[in-house]
Amino acid sequence: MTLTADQILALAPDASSAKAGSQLAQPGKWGNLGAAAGVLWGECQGSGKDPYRTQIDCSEPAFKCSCPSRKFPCKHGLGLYLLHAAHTSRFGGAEPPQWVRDWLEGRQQRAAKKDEKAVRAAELAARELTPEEIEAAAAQARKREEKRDTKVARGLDELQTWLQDLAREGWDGMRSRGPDAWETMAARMVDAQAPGLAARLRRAGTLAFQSDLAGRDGQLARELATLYLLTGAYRRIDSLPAPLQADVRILAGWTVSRDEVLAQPGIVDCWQVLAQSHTEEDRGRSRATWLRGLETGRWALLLHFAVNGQGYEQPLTVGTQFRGTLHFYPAAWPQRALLSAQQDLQTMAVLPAQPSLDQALDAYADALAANPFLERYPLALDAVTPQFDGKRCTLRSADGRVLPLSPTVGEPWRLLALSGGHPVAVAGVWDGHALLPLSVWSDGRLFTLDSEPTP
Amino acid sequence: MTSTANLASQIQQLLQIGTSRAGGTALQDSAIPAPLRACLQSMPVQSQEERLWLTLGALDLWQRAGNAPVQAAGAAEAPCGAETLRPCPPAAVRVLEQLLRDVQPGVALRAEWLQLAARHGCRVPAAHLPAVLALATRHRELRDAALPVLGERGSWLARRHPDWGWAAGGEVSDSLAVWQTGDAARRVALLKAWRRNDPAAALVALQADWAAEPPELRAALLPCLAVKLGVDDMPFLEAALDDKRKEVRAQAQALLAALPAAPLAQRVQARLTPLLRLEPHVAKADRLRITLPDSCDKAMQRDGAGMLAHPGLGEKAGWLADLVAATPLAYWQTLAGDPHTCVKLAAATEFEAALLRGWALAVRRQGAVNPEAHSTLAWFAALAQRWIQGDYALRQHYPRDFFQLFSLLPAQHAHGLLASMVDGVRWDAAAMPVLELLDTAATGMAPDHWPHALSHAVVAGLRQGLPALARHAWAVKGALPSLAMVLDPRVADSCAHGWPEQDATWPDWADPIGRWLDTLRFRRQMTLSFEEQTL
Repeated sequence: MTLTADQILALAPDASSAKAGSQLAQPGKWGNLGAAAGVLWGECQGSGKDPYRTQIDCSEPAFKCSCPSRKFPCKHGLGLYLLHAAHTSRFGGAEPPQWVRDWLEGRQQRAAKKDEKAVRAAELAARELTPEEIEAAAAQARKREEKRDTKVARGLDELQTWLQDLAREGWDGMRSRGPDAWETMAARMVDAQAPGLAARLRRAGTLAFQSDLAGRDGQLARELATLYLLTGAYRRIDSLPAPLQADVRILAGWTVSRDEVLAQPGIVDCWQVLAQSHTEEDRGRSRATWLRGLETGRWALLLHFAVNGQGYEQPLTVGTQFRGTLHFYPAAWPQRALLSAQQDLQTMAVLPAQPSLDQALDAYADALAANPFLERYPLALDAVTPQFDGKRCTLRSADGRVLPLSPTVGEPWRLLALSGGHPVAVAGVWDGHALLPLSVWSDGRLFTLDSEPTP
Repeated sequence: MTSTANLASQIQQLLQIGTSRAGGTALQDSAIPAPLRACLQSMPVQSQEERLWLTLGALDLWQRAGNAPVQAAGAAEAPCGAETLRPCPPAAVRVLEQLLRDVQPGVALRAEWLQLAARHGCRVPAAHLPAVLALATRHRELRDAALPVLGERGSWLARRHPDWGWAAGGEVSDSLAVWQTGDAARRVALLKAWRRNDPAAALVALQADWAAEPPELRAALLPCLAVKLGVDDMPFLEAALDDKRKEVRAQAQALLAALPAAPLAQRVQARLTPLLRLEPHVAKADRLRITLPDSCDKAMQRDGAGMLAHPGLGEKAGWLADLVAATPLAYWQTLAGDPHTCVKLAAATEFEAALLRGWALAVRRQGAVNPEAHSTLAWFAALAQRWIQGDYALRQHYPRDFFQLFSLLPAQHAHGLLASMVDGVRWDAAAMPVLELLDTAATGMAPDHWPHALSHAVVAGLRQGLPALARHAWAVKGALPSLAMVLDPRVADSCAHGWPEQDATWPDWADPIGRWLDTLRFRRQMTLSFEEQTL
């Protein structure tokens, strides 16, 4: 309910929407403002004859506006929300007008219908099909899978050979052949229906041909060695523990449908949004959000994608918490999850105490033992002091030990400003070598270090 | 080197050159730590290359799972000290965030936020320090306003950034070293600062090296004496009248002309006196008889005659202007009376342009040294009034920077003068010169905003006059942004309504006036945000 202005702005699909929304957050631009039971509404005069009708259900939050913008949430939604944060008293406690009630009812009906549909789908699945039909459908699916399996296996053989050639030839030989040869191999992986491997290969290619980070060759070598291990793991997938089988398949590029994940038993908790990072992708951007349950202490990773100009479907802001149900993807060390219900959104008031540095690193070793292919691991530490020697940034623990920060961390100034040489709590992503800091708890507030969406 | 690091670098080297070129130097079993070796032996390995990848993969996992952070080599950095400034009220933080997001454009608004924060004894929140430091690094003019509100945290942070040295505080650079070895820009800045603190010592330093300075530097350094110019500077300036460099001579002339006690001013007055005669009339108004100087000898040139270009004036009229420009203003009181009388007398002569130009230069020069003198104010007011009443050609005779004097006058006098101009002006085309002056004054003046009555009069005038000003829309719109920054933000409460929205010209005004009101409202909100009670 009570998000701060920058938490609201973090919902903006892009910087220009954030700016336009801020400009609309003035009482003079709005009429018929109202708030009741967690719902805000108002009318904003746009360029057209009729004012735009904007409404927000703050519990999710969900936005609705009569303007024609493709952006979501649009500037009116952001402006109304910001206005409420700054001038709560301007919002009368009147009865919602008809158009607001219509929207709320519609939402309730849709939610009910969705449930109903799920129930019906389940009934349909259980009912009517004869054992023969079920058997036939299953056989068909099996056949499809086998076919793909063969293709993937063949692709992996090729990748193994290619990596062996690479080791025989050496980095210099590889670079002299140029990035095109690399891309050809990545494209082969797509043909072999192993897009997961193709993506990792391309990422390694960026490292090989574009990066100028220190220690680049070492990182590239480790990345390719992991890929080699993965090809080996896929070959003898049947001998792996079942949960790890799921991880390996996903890494190779098999997808797990949302329904499958949502069918997993949900975990209800009060989830704190502790860290977030955005990445530019080919045709949009992706957002990784790290949550931790207050009661279970479990970490979860939510991945979202946004195509150009659109916002993310689920607004999630660092420094907030909500009650919600998470469904984890099947995995040896479950991490990625989907969110099926979200309510009671509020600003985080407390950050619970974090495990000690040793406990955290031990837990990481356990996670790596369960899933050696684990790439990112959330780490939150209490009482660490960011240090900067003019070149590299590190975290110093209370007992004087040093944790290196990732060389990919951009400007360290926000982190340094928020700590001022004093111990703070930091949350980030650990890869076993270095930490990428993503948020800082300071002055009773969690600050994100990720720069999106405000420029 | 630890055994794992050793192994990693061995593998690294092999990968660099490739196993085919490594000859017999394959990976030695003995280099692999025993537990890893045992693990690798359990796997079927078909080639040397495969063994390389598997070993590296296993090693990577082994290192990551067993990463044990090492003890720091040195002591921790000193943390920043305790803050003495109080935190900003939350509403003021929100306003700052809007500014940093460019919700409202313009450096001036950012400067105003910083000034308000300083006035309320607040500091910039830690999270926004990097953005504020970067902003004031980009916009040098914000630095003075930023320094008092950065707090301990701000200077602590600035000490760590290569570009933020201006905010690091503490270490004052060795000024003597800068004076002796610095480049021109740094020496000029240093000399100005020096003059502010100790004009006599700065003059001594300048004199000491004067003869050895290259001419360009002499020309760059001499104007610094304008800071706290005084009679003690006269002998040095008098000597500079014989400098080889023309720019240096011109600057010495201008500076001496600003000092009524200077021998130069006395010499020039003596040359001017025989050229002027006041003819009293009993029935009609008095008349001023003027004879133009018929030649310009070396001595006159040395005192500045013929040095400046005077567009639109003949050669001899230009000499007259030069003489007037270097004559003490007090002279006119004894000759003809107060500035209004003099300006009126000038209008009846054929050399009004030369007189106005000369007077304007004199007021600009002498006013800069003594902006609070009664004569400065009276002359400035009289010349400004003539400027407003005059036509385009007449206005061109005023020096371009004449009205920058607004920024030097004491605020109450400048405000009073502006109020008297706005008072009674007809808000149609006749108001355009006034509006232009308001714009100039608003651009140059200190952040003190204008009194409420004056602000209200400007808003009321525009509101009523817009339809009649349509032909000058371009110029009016050009003046709006600077006015929005100096009007008392409280007018925002009362000026939302009553605009001529039914008028045919309104569509052209709606946008710029809307933005203008937005800026005023934003400033109002910004002022109020600091007055919010903090817990």
